Amino acid sequence: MRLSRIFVPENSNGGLWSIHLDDKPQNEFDRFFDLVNDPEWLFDFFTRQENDLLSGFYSDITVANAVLRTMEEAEEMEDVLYDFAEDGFKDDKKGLQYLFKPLNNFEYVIAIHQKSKARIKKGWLRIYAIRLDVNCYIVTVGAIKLTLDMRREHLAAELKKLELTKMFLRENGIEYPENLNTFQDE
Amino acid sequence: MNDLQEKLGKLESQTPSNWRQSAKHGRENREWLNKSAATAVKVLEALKQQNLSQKDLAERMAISPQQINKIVKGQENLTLETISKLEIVLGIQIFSGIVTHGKSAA
Repeated sequence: MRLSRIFVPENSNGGLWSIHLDDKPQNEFDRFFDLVNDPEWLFDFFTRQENDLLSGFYSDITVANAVLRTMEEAEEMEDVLYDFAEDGFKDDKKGLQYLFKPLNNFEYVIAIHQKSKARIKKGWLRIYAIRLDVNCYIVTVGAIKLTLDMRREHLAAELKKLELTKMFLRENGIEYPENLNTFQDE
Repeated sequence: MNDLQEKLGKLESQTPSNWRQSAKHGRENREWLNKSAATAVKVLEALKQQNLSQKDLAERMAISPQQINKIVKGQENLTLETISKLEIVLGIQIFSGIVTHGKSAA
């Protein structure tokens, strides 16, 4: 595993980084946004998860509409991140903590998000990151979360990356005060 | 540079992130990219319903499978000719509401 800088301003203590797994051609942040901007990949993904789509958790939605909804959500997320990359660090009052909020360590379930639900659009895209400092985060995984828990195979695989990242940071002497944070569009 | 940034820098990958460039491209070309993605979804839906592969579609349209793959990836700035061919071959309407020669395509 290595790290990729997504946007790290010069002469700053802050910045957004991503993990880059050894067997992958790109870092996890880039990979996530490539996938959620790819209608073919999304169509195939939602076809495989069609039972979850029809389960009513997010209300019944067709595969085609799920693809378009995801792409719209990704676009909004990227806009917020892009604007932050351009201007965010110039404003002392702002910081990456405005984009990434702490998650409870117990389990990654919707119930835990509900405290701050008003600030979360009813979206299903997630970017999880580890906070290293006030303005310094490492993105570990991105996911499409269609169900209440993380037991689906595709989500469990993403959580494994989180564990790998924790080990990697420990091995390299990098301390992290909090466990996991998630992107929230305010 | 503080200790943390120095430590992170030592662990840096050789492959730089391309995200900012991609995001910029997405913002600058949003109007047609969204239409291209919507077209891709209609094509993928029709292929699934008609049990056709991308290769089948390529043969029917007399274009390469690579071109079809670009279309379903939603990154192709499609010509009116290609859109019309897709509509005829798959029997679908990609853009509705356009009136041509007095006929509404809605």
